[in-house]
Amino acid sequence: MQNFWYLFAAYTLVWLGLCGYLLYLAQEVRALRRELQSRPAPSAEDGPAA
Amino acid sequence: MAQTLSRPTASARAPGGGLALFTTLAGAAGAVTMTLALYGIFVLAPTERTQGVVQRVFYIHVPLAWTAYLAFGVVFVGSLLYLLRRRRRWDVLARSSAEVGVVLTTLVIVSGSLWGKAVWGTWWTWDARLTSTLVLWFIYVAYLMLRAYVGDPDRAARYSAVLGIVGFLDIPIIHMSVIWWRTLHPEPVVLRSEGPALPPEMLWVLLMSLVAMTCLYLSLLGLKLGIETLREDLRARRSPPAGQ
Amino acid sequence: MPPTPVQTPVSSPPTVRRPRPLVQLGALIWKDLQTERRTREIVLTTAVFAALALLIFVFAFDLRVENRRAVAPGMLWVTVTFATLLALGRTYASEKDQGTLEYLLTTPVDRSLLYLARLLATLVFLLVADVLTLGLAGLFFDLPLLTPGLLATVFLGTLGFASVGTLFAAMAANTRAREVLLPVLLLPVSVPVVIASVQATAADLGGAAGDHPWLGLLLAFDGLFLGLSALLFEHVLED
Repeated sequence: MQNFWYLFAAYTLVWLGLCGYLLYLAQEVRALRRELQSRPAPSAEDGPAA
Repeated sequence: MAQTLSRPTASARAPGGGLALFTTLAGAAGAVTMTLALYGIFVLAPTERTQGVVQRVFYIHVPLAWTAYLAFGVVFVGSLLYLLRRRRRWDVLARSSAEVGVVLTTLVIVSGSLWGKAVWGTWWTWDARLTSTLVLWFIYVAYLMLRAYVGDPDRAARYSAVLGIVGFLDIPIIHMSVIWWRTLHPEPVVLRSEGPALPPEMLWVLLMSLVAMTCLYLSLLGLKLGIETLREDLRARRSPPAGQ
Repeated sequence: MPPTPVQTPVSSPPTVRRPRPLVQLGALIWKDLQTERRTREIVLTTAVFAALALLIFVFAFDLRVENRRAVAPGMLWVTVTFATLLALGRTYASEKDQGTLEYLLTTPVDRSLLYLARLLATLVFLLVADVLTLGLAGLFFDLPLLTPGLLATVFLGTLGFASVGTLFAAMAANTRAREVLLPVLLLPVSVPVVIASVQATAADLGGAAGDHPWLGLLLAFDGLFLGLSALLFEHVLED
């Protein structure tokens, strides 16, 4: 059982990494939304897919 | 998957229903399969005799690697199709998958390093798989850097498509050369993670984790595709579109 | 039909009789080697760089008799790698060159021929510099390096770098950070070339390099990436 902490660390880092990337993507969506709002849409647009 | 690669909409407009549906489905499937996989990884899978519990890293390390290669395969296909057809959507596919792929590869290296530390005692070791993965990481980081440093988006798309093709086709050669190189300096202790053959319980858990990770990749890709397609849309609006 | 000069492309309708590919190739290579001054400049600066790099290695590593054979292949190929990067960067550096390239693009020359011409011209620079490096390294390390086996290795390894390097250098030249970007692009892709060249050199020097067919690997790499780069070159050029 002595190697448990490495196991825990590995899985934790993987999940942190994936969630971190998701947060980054969410940030990109927010930035794009802001930019969308600042421009008058010439035609009807669907919202962002996410 | 077929939905994303040949979307019914002919223009580069906001992806709308198709992509959103795909992403949601992939995400939901990922959540379900990942839950099952985690149960399998921590409860069902037997503990390996030599390495103890830490061997369970295998069940996330290998699927991460598999999906990373899948991601770069998608980069290759997107790059090829972009150069052949010159439709923006292929470039969007390539660069989205490249970014997700770099994230996945980073996680492969991190998990591999921790596993190696537990089993071999060092944070880094030049074993064949880790080394090849590191080289792979560098290639696709170069892809992202290339996109960042080239000003004109058209040129960026072309150049990175070239790199996407060259890089992917290089992978088997890199593998071969690294494996040959490795056999000159065998590890002091060679611990085979899978043993002579994977016992069926381990195999099933691995497969479940593989499916879960693939769904995860697809949902991340879907998200990124949506973002990038929107970005293309905005860019097209800023400068009047000169066709595709 | 009025005689069509071979060397100078004419802005006439595309029905002009195209000169045979070999003639075009020769003309293009000559253009690249054109100023003997430029050729000499690149070869000289590359050779001087290589000599200095070897010098640094002499100070950096323990070169007692027992160590030399073990350490020499690596030192040689690190030097060749960085000298190659330098030389590749230089071949696209001049602005006049960019202008000539754009002019060439208006002609019906096959893009793969442009690639081949560029590759062969670059190879001339590189091979001269690399053979000089090999000789110099032999001198500094007191090892017999100018053997046919090693010359073959240097040729194949240099070709490996140059094949993909010609393609990538054209890309990097058009970016903001060209000096940094070329190594970032080229080095990961060239890992097999480095590994194989070092091991083949070590084997040739009598060291234990296993019995993998390193030269075969180099040959395969060269063949594959030469063809691939020739095909892809047009996408790097058009603007």
